[in-house]
Amino acid sequence: MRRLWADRGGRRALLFLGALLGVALGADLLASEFPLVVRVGGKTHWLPCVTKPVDLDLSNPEWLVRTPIHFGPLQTLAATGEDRPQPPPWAPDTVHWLGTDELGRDVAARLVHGARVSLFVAFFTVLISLGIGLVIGGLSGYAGGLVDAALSRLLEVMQTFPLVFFLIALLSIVRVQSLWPLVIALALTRWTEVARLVRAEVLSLESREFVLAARALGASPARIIARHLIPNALGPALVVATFGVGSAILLETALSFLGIGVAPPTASWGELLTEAHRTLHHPGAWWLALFPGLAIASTVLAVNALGEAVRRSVDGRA
Amino acid sequence: MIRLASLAVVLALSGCQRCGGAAPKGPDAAWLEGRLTPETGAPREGGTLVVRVPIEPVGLTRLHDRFNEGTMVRLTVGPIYETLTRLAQTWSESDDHLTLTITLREGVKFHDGHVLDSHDVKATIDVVMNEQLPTAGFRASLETLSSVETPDPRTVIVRWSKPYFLATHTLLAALPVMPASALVGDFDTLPIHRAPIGTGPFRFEKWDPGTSISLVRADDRAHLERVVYRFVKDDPAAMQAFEKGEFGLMTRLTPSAWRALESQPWAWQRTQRIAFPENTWAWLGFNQRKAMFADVATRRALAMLYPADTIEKTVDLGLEPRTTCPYYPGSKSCDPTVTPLPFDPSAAKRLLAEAGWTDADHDGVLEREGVKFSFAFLAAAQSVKMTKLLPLFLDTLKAAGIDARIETVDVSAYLSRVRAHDFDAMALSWSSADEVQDNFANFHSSQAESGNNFLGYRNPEVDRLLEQIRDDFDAEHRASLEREVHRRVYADQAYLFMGRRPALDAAARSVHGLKPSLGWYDLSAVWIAN
Amino acid sequence: MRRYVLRRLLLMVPTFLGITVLTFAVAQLAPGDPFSLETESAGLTADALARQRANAGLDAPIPLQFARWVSRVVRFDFGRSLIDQRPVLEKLGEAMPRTALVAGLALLLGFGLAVPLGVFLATNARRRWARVLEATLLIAWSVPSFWLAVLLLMFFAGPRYLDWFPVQGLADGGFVLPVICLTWPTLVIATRQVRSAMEEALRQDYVKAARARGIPERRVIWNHALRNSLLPVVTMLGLHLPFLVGGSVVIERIFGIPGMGLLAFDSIGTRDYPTVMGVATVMAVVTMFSMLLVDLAYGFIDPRIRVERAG
Repeated sequence: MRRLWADRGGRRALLFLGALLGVALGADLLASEFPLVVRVGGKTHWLPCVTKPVDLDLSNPEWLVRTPIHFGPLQTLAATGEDRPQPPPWAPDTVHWLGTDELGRDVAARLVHGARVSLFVAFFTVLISLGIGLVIGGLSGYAGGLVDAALSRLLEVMQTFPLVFFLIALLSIVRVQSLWPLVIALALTRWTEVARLVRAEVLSLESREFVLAARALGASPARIIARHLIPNALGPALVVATFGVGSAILLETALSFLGIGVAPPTASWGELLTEAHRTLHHPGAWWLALFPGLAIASTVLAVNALGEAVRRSVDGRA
Repeated sequence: MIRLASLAVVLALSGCQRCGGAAPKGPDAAWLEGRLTPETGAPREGGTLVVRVPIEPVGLTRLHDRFNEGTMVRLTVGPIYETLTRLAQTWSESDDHLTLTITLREGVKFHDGHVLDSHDVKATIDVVMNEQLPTAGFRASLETLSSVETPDPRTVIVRWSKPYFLATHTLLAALPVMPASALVGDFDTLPIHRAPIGTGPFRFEKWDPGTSISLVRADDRAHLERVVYRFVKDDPAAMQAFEKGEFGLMTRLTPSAWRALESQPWAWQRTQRIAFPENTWAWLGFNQRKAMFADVATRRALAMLYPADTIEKTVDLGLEPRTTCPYYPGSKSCDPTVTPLPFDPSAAKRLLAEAGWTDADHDGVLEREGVKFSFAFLAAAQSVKMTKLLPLFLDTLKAAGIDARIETVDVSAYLSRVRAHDFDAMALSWSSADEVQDNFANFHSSQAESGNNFLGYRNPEVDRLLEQIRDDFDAEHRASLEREVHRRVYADQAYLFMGRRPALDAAARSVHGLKPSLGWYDLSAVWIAN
Repeated sequence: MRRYVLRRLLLMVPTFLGITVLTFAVAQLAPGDPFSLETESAGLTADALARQRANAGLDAPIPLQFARWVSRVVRFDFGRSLIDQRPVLEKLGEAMPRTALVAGLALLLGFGLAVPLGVFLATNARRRWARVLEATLLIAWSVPSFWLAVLLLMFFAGPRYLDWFPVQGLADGGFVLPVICLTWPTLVIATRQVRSAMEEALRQDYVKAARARGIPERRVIWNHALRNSLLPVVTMLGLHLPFLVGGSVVIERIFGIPGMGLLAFDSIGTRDYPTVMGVATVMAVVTMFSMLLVDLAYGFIDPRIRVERAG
């Protein structure tokens, strides 16, 4: 970590991603139809924007502090009650800083809340696929023989199987409206890269002196895997995983485009960009495409730069 | 990243320069309303009309129709196939409505050269009625047919087991007549599915899978030399190709694509827009098998929470007028005095309270008898309209204490769950290429188990009316019964009726002779100017 | 050598079976069937649907359906599509060449350009333009491919800017834009791979030894170092194929190319089981053979690697 911070590119990427994480986690504090603090009826309510109380009457507050963006991500013009001569999409102005989409939803609010969704999907996809990849790759590399052969076949099956089949089937089976089906579907298709790498790494480590020494000293296999192999294979796996976050974000946009991504009305970056594609015939509605596009591109850029930095520091350590 | 930004900015700027600089003259009234200007001048012979088709059909027989029936009928029945309305010289029905005698026109030839006779008609009907074949969709409307006789090559006698007002009409107006010789053999693999042979003004030329289908002029009934149906799925791409002049006719524009044309000079200079009211009406429905939606008061309250004006303004863009009627809007079958329930959240809340819905635990969601008013709209993931419309509805429902979600699944899963009645709320639109229609399958309680009455609507009085309609051959009297069905179905809120969808098309200015009708355009009348 | 190839071919059998099981499971699990789409034909009764299902053999018990499925897969007899009744092989025959053209060109171009680019980046890492190039590649990697496709369409096929290419289809140079879209990520990933492998190789002792022996730098790089740094790149080449076909769904959709990606997407969407089976089988076979070829290529690139190593 210290090595990463010393790396200029790594530091910049970390700063950017940290800020982004802050935006994603604090989305409710940045964009909400509810205020940050409000005093109404002689009582002060703290953070109704997070708790979203249903019985809070905001029509006559004594005073209130609003979130920087005054809209929630799902608020259409049916909820905001805005009425303008032209139907939406509305261009950026002082009310909607980044404009609105075709339903009058605030692009800035959707972007901020979309960050949470997109990062959640990307992060957990990678985390789960890293977990599966480490276990299967480690097992395959260490155990060798029949276990290795069987797991190698499994790896090959997953690599050869068309991704779309898997995603469509999985996403049409699951009934719950949550992000987890998407995350799991993506993770199940993405663990192979990590597993392959970890297996190769373990194979090469096994013949190294320190492993041989541990074995000679009578360490149990579990101990060898946990104490020696995994920590050493973790570095290269982390590099792959970091780059994986970037590709998971891009994959999410592609799935949204195909209509099998995050379910509407939830805002994700892919969903925002897909909406922009649908409204491509509005000749001037550039704000729909530009801001989500910039958000995706700059995030993936930062993630990849971080990946580079991680690679440099892992290489340096080796 | 930087490059992306500057590209997008350039795009925006150049778009605006065009608005400001070019073409001071705006579109005229006819263009804005989607009316075609009256034709002048003589038709020119020859030329190719390229039509944009969004979905490639799976086959071209119409008998064995599948999920994109609408597309297929338009493409073939008329240009390639003809129905008995055109092929018969005369027809007469017996007084008891049980016998139909058809006399065919003389000298009609199929595109393969052989002369049409009564055996061809019988062979086509036999295929439809054969229970072993996947022609059930068509068979359903002819289920009262008992026998077909062919006493001589020009005469067909059809006998019905009982009178049904729509049977004769369906047989004459919808059945595409095919040559008997082409219907012999294993039905699934008949060449005619992929290479139709009919009697119409255009002959099938070739099918380039994934790309296009082309037809050529069969005889001098047609002006055009060739018609090409090109499949382009992606809407923005299709619009771009249209702007480049690659299409003569664009079909099925979305309301927002239609409206977007208004700000683009090339569109009003080089194209004509066509808006035509189709017999298509869209509805949202609540599964009435569930206690939550079983009572009329709750359904009426839901209808009063439907933000019709906002949806009209933002989703339909003023192009899909509201309807309350399950028949062709504006026809005699609809009662013009039925007015839609207003969008009135406070009245809806009162109605919900009267129906027993209260928020006793103050969590913002109503309950009745311990059950929370919380449900999911099942929506097909590919439905752009639903993904735009439902969020608006969700907002007004939420404000009234109803917790609704959207559950999107792909089309196959959607339809199989609708059939299995495994949903809380759903949306669909019914569409007919004909003005006359029978709503028996949609509303009769006998159709709630395995028919099209997906929502499980039951009203004995409506059942009785629908049964009466089926054997009533007096059009005026039937219309009065249908108006009664309209009133009752709306009062019960069997469906939450949304809008009626017009056909929104656009054609190049050089395309003439377009006359929109419920049965699409008569392509034989179309011609292209130099 | 022959024994090795034989062994590899034998190892394909379990993989192939695994794919078959997975495809069948996925097809079984997705709700709906090809006949559920017929709802638009008003009045279609449950009886009629049941009969159609029976005709297609979809009412048989699952193990029997699976047995039939496997027996058809191993004979490459996919039968007819349940949607348009055309032979699945015919549909595959139409889709394959289109995808092969686009994906093949992308693969060739991507890896073909990646090798010189990667080598230059590795050997000139300190130069200013190399850093700019490096940054450009990193940025290029961050753009969603469908977004790139839409921008390219707008600027190079649109009526308003440069009207060079057709909007839809492969004809009249229509393959250029989709190939660019698919080459783009391939090129970026491959270049980075070549570069890091090259940097690694240049640090190795044998390169230093070669230099010490006075072999010209150019020969050291292109003959000695490159040879070894090609290994990971070639591995990637084999693995990249399914990725390319999978990634092409979006590109094929936008550019209107009815290839394998769209066929896969549409067939699972309509639950057209025979076509699903055909697509999965063909893609599996192609991928497995390309992986085998890659492994064999190892031997040619690096004679030190004996092909007898474990597969």
